Amino acid sequence: MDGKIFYITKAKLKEFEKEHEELLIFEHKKALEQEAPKILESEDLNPEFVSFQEDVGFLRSRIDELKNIIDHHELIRNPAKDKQGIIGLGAKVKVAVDDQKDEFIIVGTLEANPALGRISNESPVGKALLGHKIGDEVIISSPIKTVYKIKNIKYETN
Amino acid sequence: MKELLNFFIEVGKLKGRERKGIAFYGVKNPETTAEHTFRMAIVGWFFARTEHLNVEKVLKMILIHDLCEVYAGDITPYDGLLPKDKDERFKFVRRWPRLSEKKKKTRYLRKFKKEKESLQRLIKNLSPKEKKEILDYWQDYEFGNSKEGRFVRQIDRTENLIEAFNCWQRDKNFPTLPWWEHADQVIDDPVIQKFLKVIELKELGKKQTKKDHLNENLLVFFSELEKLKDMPRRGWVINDIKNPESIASHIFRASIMAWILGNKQKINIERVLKTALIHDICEVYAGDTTPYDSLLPKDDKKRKALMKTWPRLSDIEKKKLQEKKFKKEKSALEKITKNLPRDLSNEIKHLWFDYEKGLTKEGRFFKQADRLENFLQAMEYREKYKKPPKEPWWEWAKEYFDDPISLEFIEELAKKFHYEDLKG
Repeated sequence: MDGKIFYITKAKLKEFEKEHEELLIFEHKKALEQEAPKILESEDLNPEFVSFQEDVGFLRSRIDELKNIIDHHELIRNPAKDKQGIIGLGAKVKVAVDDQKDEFIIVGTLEANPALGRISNESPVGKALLGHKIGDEVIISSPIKTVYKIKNIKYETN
Repeated sequence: MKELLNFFIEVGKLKGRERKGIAFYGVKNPETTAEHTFRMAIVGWFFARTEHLNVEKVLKMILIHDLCEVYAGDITPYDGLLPKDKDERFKFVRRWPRLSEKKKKTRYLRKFKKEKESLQRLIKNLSPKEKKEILDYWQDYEFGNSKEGRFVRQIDRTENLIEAFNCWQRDKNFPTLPWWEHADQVIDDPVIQKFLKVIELKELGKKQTKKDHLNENLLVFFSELEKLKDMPRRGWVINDIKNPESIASHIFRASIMAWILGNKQKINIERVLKTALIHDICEVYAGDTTPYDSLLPKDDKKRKALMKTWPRLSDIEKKKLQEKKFKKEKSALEKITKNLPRDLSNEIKHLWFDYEKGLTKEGRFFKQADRLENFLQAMEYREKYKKPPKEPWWEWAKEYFDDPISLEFIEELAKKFHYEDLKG
């Protein structure tokens, strides 16, 4: 928080806005001591949403969190066509590390999940890759040297 | 940050500090101080909640109550009294030692002095605020100044009794009597007494006239957590680390690290601590997993070679593995929490979900703190055993950490453990 800007994709923003709206309605209904909406009994529903049912404190903190993100976000947009050869936020990057291939998407901290290849732009690797193009070798050292050879850069439509 | 890193390294010694009170009775791989503290924190949280105590204070007090053992060791009431003769000693440790008031006082003051000096030595390089916080909590626990302090002392004995009960379940020759004798002098809280009744009746082989479902279920839950004290972290096992830390030990230090590092951020520490305590409890049934699991060759040489690299997988493989792990752990969490009171089981599930999905700043922060603890342990093992290989850890770390405090911490780790690499 503290004035931090959250870089998020359009899809994620929509997701957050929807969740925020639904939680506000839910909170209101809960305050009126109405029964939980039928939707909460659905198995398809986001389990985290269902779990808010009996935890008012958690519900409120999530609503505040979402509001803060929505108020302080900056959308990750694809760069102009002539700049799409350069790694920026939202870029899907194919790299070779030693002899192994890997793929990353450079995202903001809220969407980062390295186990899924979603690397935060604030991590040392994410930060170092930004601004590079195919063919570049990005070296991460201190203390161990790792070389990331950039093989491909792609921006998905967003 | 250097001072904090050194503090965490010293605190880590409690992962290997075997509890003498359990070792007396010939128990193989007795629990460590770190493991005892882990479960004590969960027991304390659950009962503090029922009794409307300050849960954050209770958790912090529990986490630090045995930090004095880092240098003072585990001082038991039997120290200096054990008969040399084997048979006599066998008999002696099966009863609570009875001493005159004067002797009790002398021994207590000696113990207190030694432990206080040890704690002061441990925290001497922390900031004045951190030092004061830890020392105040410790003294509150020692003297029982606040209701939380008095409560935590009783929770300490309660965890001991659960541990003794679990040892007795495995081996009916384990003497629980001295533990009861001690607890009976300390525990006056009616809620805890009611819980202990369930253990007592089980040990006596008696049935309750009116079944106490709540406490029965709590006992089952706490006893299941015992498994985390014996379960080695898989990442160390596949790297052939001797006597690797248990999951419970990892949780203990991760909780302390999250608290102290979390103080540098505007976050809810109570929530962070609760998340820390429950984040791995699903492993009781799901077991521990590592990013190497799907790739592990049976051949030893190939396995060792694999450990030198960070596993690189395709997007599809990453997604598949993540989903599989999530599903398995979620169902394990459902299983372990299913008989807890509903609001408690929901709270645990929310916290875990938050940790997994990063729903709040606390959930996101703890995820990083959890990995920092793991990373620190890897560096410590590497220094001691020359394994695991350092390269994959650093490769992973530079992709993983993005929180400014975590980044500052890993820079400090680099200075501490890779001085030569940095120089070269």
